[in-house]
Amino acid sequence: MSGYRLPSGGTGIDRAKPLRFTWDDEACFGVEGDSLASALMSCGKRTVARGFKYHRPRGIMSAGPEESGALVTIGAGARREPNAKAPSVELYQGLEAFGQNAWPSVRFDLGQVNDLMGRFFAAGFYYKTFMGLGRGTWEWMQFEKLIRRAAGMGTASHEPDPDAYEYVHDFCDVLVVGSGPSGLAAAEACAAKGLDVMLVEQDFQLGGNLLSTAETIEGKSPADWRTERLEALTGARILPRTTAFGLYDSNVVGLYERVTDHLEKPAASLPRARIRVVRPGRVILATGALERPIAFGNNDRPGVMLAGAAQTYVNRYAVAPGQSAIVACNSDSGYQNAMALAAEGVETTLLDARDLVHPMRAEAEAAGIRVLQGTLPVRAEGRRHVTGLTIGRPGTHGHARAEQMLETQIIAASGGWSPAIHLVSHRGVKPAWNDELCCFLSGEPPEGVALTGMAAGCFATTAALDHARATAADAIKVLTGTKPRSPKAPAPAGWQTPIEPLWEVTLRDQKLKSFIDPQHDVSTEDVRLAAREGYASVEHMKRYTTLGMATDQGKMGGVIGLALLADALGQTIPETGITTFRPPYTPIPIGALAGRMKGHGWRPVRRTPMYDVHAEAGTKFLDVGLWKRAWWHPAQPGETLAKAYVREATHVRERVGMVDVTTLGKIAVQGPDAGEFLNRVYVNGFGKLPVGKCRYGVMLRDDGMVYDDGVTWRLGEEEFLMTCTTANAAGVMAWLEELLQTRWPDLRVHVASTTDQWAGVAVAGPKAREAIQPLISGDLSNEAVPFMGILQTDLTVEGGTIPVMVARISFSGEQAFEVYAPSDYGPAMWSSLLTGVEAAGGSAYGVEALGALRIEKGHVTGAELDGRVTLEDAGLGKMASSKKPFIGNVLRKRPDLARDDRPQLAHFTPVDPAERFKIGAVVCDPAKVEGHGLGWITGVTVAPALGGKWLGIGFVAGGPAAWEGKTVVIADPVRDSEVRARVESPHQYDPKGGRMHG
Amino acid sequence: MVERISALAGQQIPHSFGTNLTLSERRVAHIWQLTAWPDRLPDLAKIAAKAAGVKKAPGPLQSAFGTASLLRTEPLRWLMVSETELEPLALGAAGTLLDLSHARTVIRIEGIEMPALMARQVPLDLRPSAFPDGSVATTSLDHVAVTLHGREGGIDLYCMRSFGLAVWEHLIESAGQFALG
Repeated sequence: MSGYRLPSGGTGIDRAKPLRFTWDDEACFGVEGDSLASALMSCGKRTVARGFKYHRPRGIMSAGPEESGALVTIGAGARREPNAKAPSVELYQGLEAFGQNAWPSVRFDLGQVNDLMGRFFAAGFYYKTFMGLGRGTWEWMQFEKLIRRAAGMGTASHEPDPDAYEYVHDFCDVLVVGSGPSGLAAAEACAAKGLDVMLVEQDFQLGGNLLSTAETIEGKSPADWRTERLEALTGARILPRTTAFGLYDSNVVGLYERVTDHLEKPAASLPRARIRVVRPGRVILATGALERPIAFGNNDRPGVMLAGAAQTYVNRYAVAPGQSAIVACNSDSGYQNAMALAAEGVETTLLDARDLVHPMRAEAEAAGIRVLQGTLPVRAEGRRHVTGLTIGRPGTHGHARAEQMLETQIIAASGGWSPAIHLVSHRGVKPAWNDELCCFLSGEPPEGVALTGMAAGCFATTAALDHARATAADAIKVLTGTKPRSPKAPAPAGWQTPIEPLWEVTLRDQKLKSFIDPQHDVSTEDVRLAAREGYASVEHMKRYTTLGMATDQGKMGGVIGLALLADALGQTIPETGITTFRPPYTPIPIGALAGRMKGHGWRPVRRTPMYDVHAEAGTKFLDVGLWKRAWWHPAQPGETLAKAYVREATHVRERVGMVDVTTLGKIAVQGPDAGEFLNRVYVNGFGKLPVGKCRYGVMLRDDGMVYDDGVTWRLGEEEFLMTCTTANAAGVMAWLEELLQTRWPDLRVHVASTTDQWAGVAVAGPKAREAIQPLISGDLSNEAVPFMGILQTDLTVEGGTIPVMVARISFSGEQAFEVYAPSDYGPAMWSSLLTGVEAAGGSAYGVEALGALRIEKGHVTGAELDGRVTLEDAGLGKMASSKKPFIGNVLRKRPDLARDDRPQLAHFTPVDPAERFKIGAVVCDPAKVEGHGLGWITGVTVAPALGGKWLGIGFVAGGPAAWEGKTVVIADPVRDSEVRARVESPHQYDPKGGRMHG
Repeated sequence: MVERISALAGQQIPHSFGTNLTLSERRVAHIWQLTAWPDRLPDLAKIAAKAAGVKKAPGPLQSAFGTASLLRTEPLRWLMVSETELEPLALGAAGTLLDLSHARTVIRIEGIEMPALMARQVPLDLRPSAFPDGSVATTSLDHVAVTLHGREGGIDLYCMRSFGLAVWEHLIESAGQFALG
């Protein structure tokens, strides 16, 4: 008979609340408080998984995150998650769980044929295969595919993760990790002194061992003792379902909190999980200890489990793993486990590897337990699950001598306990081997961190509580300056009778299949093979055998593995050492690490003040960096981009148009030395720019290449408003700050971003003045506001007037005014100006038309000024002042930057008007269409002002002068296109600027 | 009088999540940035204190409340925030004044769940014991630079106006869980 629910008991379950779930699509039932493992066990499921390499049947081996057998897939669709450890999965109504790594099912898996070929899959299998004969051949490549297909366990969903995750930054005085007896005692002591306490527990129920022990604690039942402690923690933050996965510098602790995994229908506003980054004053690690298995023959059969786990299933979940059990142990803890099983009617035999008369023997026998001292488990019997256990006694040369076979359904093994010291190991603390307790204990923990209870090697509950209260007292003293009365922290100890090492049971005349890392199917023989093949370092052995590299990270078999390596090498365990534990303690979904930093959380949206006005009008938007910019303004629903931008650009050329230019970077440059500062930053002069005027400027990098350009306005003697490109706004701001702080701290200049202070609209076209003058209180005539003039005035809007700054600046090549209003007035400004523009027969235009207009005019943008371009390349060489120094002036004169054959700005037109080329195409000599060519295309458009022809802007070696009367080939090898084109001056449209100045 | 249109126009304001968390917008008339020259910091501090109606200009990461609030945001810099019109202020040779009244969105976060919500946004300890009224901090939220000001038991969150709605939406999305009780 397999596992079954006991008629009574269960400290952690509520029998009145049944839960329905499915296992491989079969309806099953558990109760509230069950784990998936306990529920499966209560439903009689024994084989719930298959091994990684050999596909051997596997059952439930533990009751915690160290599980190495019951790895299952939970959820379906986008939420399918493989390799969940069944003991750690909280049961809920509707849970879907599946066996994995098997076909057709875990009960009958054709893959088990691999078990027959086990000798070929030994340690180093991959290395030997990939380095072996025949590599690189067709046959080998097919074999490699097979291996790759066979690798891995379970299958994750290929759909995007539908869940949300979040980060939380927590602060507290004391963080206690673990809610067992020690954790509760420490937390209670700290809270009693008014400290801000966080208590975290990886399980979904609080109490740790209190949930499974029958031992009275300080005269109370475990349940009553737990309740009292929790009531005393009213003000503390208590987080179940929360794993401390890492301990980092400055004692920052990473927590993984499972928020909705246990809910049938979680609220949409809840994240699935949280990463909590805790910065506590002190850290108390009451993380307990992990029980070790024993390596004996077929110790991976369903029915073999840890002895402590068997007790947990009986006492906490009221599930008997079977009707009969053999508990095999080498320490006192096995007696308690056996007593718990016997108390619930399980026919129990206890094998104690130690040949001693144990003080609990009489009590055990009185409870109906058959006790066999000096007896070892040799080999589990049964093909699909345990039906018996061959036992033996110590023989010669370290081998056992098999004696008899006992029938049993369960083998509950305990090879001792390893304190869970993983978190301090994350900080580089080296564990130290303790011969007496037969385990690794932590070295001196980092300042502010303390281990307590079983984690500190105090295995008896009374000693563990004393240790916890002493540890809490130390924390209280540091944090409050007062030290409460507390017992002295006891030394590591606690076993009534000495534990004796028991790693593996072998027979002299027969090889046993004994696993130490069931998840990766690593056997004892693999470790010896590694030693024989020269992998003498424990770190090398780990990588060669993959021991401890599965999802349990060696919690089950790590210590046994290194003990066997030590034995194989003829050295001690301390001489052999231990591998380093690294975060995370248990696996964390990648999505949780991303938190809310996906989608708009990764790229916050930046909107201009006119965004809503645009959106209501049906404007199409383009993402430009983080900005949402108006791409085009459809004249009617469905108008395409191709039609709209030509229409909009034509309006600007023939009548008037207006565009949202808020996104331009704007920087206030203030102070008595502001003019001098700009003189040094720009290639052209700004020191003598009159107040009320603006000027186009170009700034270089130190290496002489063009960095950015824009128009700077002089608003006062000591006040300038610099504009720069949208793309470079932040970079230019940082550059100016750096210059002021590192090169010219003597200059009295302040810079600050005012991009968000001003909403900007450019009104351009021959009717621009006519369109907006009626709305502007000041005079916009050519005399009052000439080209590059500034006017501070008012604009009439619905409900009154608003203050605006107007400047005669043109990016389009037409008569144009840029109008800036304080941002909160942006919508009013846009609406007002639009009435004027539309009355003049014009319309709003977007960035696509803006691009078309500037390409026609031959104006450069960030597309051209890409860091490879000099002033001369861009046709701006004449701007450079010869009367003042400026950044980049020395290095721009390097001979190579002054060559005539450098790529220079040009227009390109297809010879065949029906042909088109695209941005990114390469400009080539027709005789040599290859490689990087002689130049490149940076922008293309239909050019309404130039007869509607296809027009490109870009660079070609020597510039237009070198190609007069000749053609180039614009090659686009990526998109398989070659277009013959003419090279023309970039200043085809209104070359004298009469329209701008009009 | 032309209405000023906030970056949060059209949003449900105030927006409550249960009884212990409310997000709203604080509309202010003026936000002036006062920046001192390094050698004239005391002079500017006096001018700023007088203009804000406080005894003394606050030190780093602190603020003072008078006819206007004065927030020390940087070593040489204060923000002067007022809900009413301010008289023109001449700093003379002590420093520079920059009007940022339209450049910021100020989101008000109140309720005992405020620290819990903000713990999901910024790596700062904003529990009342660690961030009492008058405290000032500058940090990053959702990749956006923000200034936090503890005031009247809640937080005023200053961010660039162009990011105002994005930050609001981020906070609202994150705060939804607090409505569950």
